[in-house]
Amino acid sequence: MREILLYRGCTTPVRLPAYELATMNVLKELGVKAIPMKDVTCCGAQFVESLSPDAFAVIGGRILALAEDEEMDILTLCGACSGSLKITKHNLDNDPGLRRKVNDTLAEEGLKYTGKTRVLHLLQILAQEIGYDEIERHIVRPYNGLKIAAHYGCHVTRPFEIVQVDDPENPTIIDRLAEIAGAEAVDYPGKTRCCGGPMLAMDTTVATKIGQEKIFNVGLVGANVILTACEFCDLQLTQCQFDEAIKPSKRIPVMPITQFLGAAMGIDEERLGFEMNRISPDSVLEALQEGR
Amino acid sequence: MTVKEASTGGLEQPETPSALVIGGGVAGMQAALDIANQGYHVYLVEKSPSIGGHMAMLDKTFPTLDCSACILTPRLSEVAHHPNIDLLTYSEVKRVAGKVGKFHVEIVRRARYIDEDACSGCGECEKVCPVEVPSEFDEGLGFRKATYMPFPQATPHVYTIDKRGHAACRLACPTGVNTQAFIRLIQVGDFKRALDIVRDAMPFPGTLGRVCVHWCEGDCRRGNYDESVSIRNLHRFLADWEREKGETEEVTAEITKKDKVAIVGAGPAGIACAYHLARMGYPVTVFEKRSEPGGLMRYAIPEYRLPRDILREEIERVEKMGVEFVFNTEVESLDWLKEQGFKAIFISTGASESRKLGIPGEDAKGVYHAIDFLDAVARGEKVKIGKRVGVIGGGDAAIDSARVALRLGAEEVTLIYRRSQVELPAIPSEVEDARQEGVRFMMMTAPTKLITQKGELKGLQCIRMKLGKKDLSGRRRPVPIPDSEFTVALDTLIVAIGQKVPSLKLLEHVARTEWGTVVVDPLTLQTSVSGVFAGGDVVLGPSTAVKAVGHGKEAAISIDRYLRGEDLAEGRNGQLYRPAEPDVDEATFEPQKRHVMPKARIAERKRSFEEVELGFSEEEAIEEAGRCLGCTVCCECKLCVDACDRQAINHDMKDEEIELDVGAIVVATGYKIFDVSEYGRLGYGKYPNVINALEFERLINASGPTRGHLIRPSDGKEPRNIAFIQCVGARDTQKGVPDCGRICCMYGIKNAVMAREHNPEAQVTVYYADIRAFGKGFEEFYQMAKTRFGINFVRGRVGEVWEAPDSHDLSLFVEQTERDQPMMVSHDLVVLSPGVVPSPDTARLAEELGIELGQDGFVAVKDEIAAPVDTGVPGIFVCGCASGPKDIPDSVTAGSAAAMHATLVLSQIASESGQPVEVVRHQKTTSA
Amino acid sequence: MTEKVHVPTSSFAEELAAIPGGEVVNKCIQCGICTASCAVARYTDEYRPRQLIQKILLGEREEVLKSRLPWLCMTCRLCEERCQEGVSPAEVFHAVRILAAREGYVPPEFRRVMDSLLNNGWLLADSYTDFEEEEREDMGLDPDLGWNDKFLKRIKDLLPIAEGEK
Repeated sequence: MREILLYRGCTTPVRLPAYELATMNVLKELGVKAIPMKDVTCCGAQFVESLSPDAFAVIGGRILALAEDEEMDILTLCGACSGSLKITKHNLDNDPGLRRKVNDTLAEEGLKYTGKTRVLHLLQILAQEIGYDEIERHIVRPYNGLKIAAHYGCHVTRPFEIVQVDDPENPTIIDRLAEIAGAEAVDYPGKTRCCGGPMLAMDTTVATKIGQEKIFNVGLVGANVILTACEFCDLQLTQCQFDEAIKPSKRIPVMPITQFLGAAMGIDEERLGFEMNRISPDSVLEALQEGR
Repeated sequence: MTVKEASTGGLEQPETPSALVIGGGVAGMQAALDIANQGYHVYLVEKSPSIGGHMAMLDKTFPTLDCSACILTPRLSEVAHHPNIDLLTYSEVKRVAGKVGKFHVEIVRRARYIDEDACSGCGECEKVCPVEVPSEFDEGLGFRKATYMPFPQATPHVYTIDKRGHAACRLACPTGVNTQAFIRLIQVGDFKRALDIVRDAMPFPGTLGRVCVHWCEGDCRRGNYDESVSIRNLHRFLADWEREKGETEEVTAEITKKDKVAIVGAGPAGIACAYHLARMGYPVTVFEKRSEPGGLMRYAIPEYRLPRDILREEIERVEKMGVEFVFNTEVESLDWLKEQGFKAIFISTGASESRKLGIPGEDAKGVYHAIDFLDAVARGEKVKIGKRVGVIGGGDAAIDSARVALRLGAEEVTLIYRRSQVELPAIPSEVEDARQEGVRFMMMTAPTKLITQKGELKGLQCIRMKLGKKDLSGRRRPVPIPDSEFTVALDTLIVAIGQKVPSLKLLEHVARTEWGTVVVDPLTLQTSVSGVFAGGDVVLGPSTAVKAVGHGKEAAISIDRYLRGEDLAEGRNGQLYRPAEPDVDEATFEPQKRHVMPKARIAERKRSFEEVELGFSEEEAIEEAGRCLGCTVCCECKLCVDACDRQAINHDMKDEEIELDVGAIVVATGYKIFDVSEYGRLGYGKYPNVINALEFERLINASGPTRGHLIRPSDGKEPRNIAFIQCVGARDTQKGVPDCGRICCMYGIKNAVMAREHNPEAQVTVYYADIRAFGKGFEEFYQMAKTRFGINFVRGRVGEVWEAPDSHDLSLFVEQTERDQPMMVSHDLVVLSPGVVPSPDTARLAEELGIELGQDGFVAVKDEIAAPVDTGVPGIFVCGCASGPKDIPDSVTAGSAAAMHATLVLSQIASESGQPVEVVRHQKTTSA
Repeated sequence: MTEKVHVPTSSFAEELAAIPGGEVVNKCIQCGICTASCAVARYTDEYRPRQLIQKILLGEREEVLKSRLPWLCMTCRLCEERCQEGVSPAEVFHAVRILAAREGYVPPEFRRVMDSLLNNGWLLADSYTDFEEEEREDMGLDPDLGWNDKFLKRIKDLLPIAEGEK
């Protein structure tokens, strides 16, 4: 069983624990044990990042050093955490001065950053480390007659030169995984546009409008479910549908890719946290062959 | 470089020093004319079938809105008629050696399959050609035939046949049927001609159409994408169609020669040989031991696979061609035939003797050997079949025996084979049919002992097998599992483990192998005796009907040559060809399964010998033929040859290699437009109504695919709200093209103006970052576009394009920067204006010439100001877009400059050799 | 009344060039493709990345640093992906935010978040109630999230806001 440290971020454990649960269970089936990291802080995305590059570097550097201490790589669930840690790693690897400054602070705890730890987003673990063939072997109840719209999220795929997860202009990992699970992945206008999540900090009305534009486009092509790879996107795309602009009957279910895959892999709904999904996933689960 | 005589390909040795111009666009033509008009000789080499380059594709030019063809065509004509210019189109420069003053160039002149001197460009061949492919000149928007002229004023004004190698299906067929041709002709409904093409190779369209092992389908390239084309069933369809039509053409004998040929054995090989010899005019006599012709096709293959009538009619047709059949006669010596006056002999006596198991009890009652069994049934004899029948073997004879046994009333038929399912050699569709009819398959089982009682079969003792190591054939050898014997109760057993060549008296006169087969030269089929040839199973051992038919054809060729005293082997070197690969766009390919052959109902099949496979209907046949990918484009149906009055078509032409000596070289290889599908966000390739500027040019061009009607690709309607997006593939550091495209602003405006010209009611908008109207008259043109033509100009680069799925209208995201206004604007047609990049062959050519390319891939010039047409290599010059984007006037100027530099070199050679150079006073056309 | 006329200066752009992310702002040709792609520009009336960069290039330092606009960037980087000249407005505004923070111009929303972060070490301590704890337990997940609340306090000096400032 390959082991990897799971950096959960601030949001998932509180607002979308089902994503954490489903991911750990799916990865376990696929031979990867995700061990939650302890003693860490927030990764510093958006807030610390905007205020001080030094603070940002040392916060991220500490998280990376903690993993390095355990001689394990880091798995992230959230796009923002993934982006932050990868960018910090990139900065520390390429700027010896910054690295020295950070290591001076880390030395106080007996930690050191040398760059050995890799940061992998969930999509990388699935597509590159585990591989499509292995996942296909585990599909026991493929979906039938289901159209999915993949939402990758901005921080997962951009900037490509640093994060290297998938082609930002034409990403395919979630689409391929969904097809392996028997669904049809459909293209839709604005597929690589932002969900609006980061805007929640400054203006919730604008954030909601941005999210709703995505929902509208997904509806145009007749997709039955939106698949995500970041809890922030998931929460935002769910939340923006609970607004008077969208009728309750027109809400499109949103779920993380691991919940979606887990059901097709025959994992119990309880172990995937489906009862917590705010928009009912029933229509999706009914498409699993051989019924529920 | 091959050491062979320097061939100048029929070109006359010029008397003056010569130059080579590579590329027949406007710059190359200018250079060629300028050099030629100074009295020197020029070879103008152009890769495509015609000179003219991109300028020939344009409708109007900027800034004057002159018709591009009107300016260009006089030039084309001048080049074609100039006495000092040798125009080598459809040709490519392969190698260059030497140095300034003495370059040695190797050029490949690709075969057009049409004689340039004989062709008058009349177009009769094009009318009859059944093959249509997307037209490159029309940017894939329209179609052209396999024989085509790229545009009406193409120069030279001749047709070209696009033929790409050899089709896999044709190569796989032992009889060489031109499969691609007959399938294409089925698709266009010309069944008569299609059948003629099949008959060109062999006389058994109906017979082989039912029983052939169809190697063609195994190699069919369509099979790499979804399923191979159902080829065998298609040529069966042709035979059936002719029968049903009822008006079979009368076949007349045309025996014109005197040398008699004897054929021993009226099986597939013998009859095929007779057929081909009769077509060549030879009098042939076929001797057959049995009372009817057909060999194993008549006496072994059951009627539910091959109805007797079909076979008989096809053999009768051969008879009508003047072939004499003598039945019930066994020929025992070659001398006897010679005494009868036969000048050549073909032995095709087959391999019809059943192999024996070699285990005790094999001669008991109830034990049959497959060929004898099938033979008896075929003769109409009553064969006693018990209730429980076992068949040993896995080939077609075994399957045939099993299915015949069922029809004769067996209650249970079990096929026993010592290897596994996967290794059954029988035709898969036969195995499937047997399974459907209820034959049981017992795999990995071998017989050990026959159990008899009072001489009658009671059962079979068997042993289970497992797969061991591979044997010489590459298959894993089955080995018995110890102590796994078991018994099967049987009252009838049919042994179908293969055939061998019987020891006939006749065969004693020729050399044979240890297995009894006749030894022949593999190419000519000549035996150890001169003038005596052999083919089919008697040579191959038990094989297939189609290979025998193929041998018959080859033997006929050998016999003909032998009788005329010609070398038997020449030109028949058995050259291995690589099959052509089809041009398939995997992104848009839609898989489509092959048509399933309709079959008789299983319940009916089990008790009757009526034909099981029912054949395709006309619609099914045409649809199935439509699945052919047309790998070689031209299928060699030769309808064009018939249509051509001037005998200009020659399908045997080969690529020609010529070598030239020139003093100077001018590179004028031009450009290609940036591939705008790299901009996924703009939707080209995804949305039908997003097109590029060259496609736009073809749409508005009167000689284009829509005859000059500007339409939306999605619905053919006239667009009323057109957007032009600039800087696509130019001024983009992220796509590796940071430089300005130089021509796109102006041609974009020109295209916008033309859009309004075509429809004055249409809204036309140009989205730009800057408008670079730098040349003479350019600013005026730009202003005119705004005022007189009412084009809207929005200063803002377009971010992305979305499509409304029903109307296929497009929404553009852009900021009107002069008003700080982000907008989403709707249009019904979007035209992307791409920048220009080096033409595809530039890198290879540069390496061959030893010239440098810049980082942008264009040819690097020695110095932009002091030597803008010189490359780093003395004697090699560059002009036109090959060294960077240019508009037409600048390209022409550069062409003249390069010509000047080239003639400086040539004049030096001339003065050194003392050769006078005659200046050709040419009637110059006045051109803009 | 004499109106104050802004004299264009490149000093602000140069100042930004020293901050990571601000290096290539001078390459901007003001084509607007960033604004055309920007989701925030689409749904607000004031936010126009191209215009903001124009102000930077013209040297309108005070206006830009005091403005709320640079804080509206979602860092989705679609502008960076599309800019044909190689400019990343997202990175430029990131540099602007760092500079603004140094001078004490931080929006109240960010201040509030920073206070919570400094105290707890993570963002959602106030939202993690018994209810959420129980939910996790029910699902078989560890309710103790193990956040470190000391480290951020130790590096407080690196952050340009002390509590209650400006």
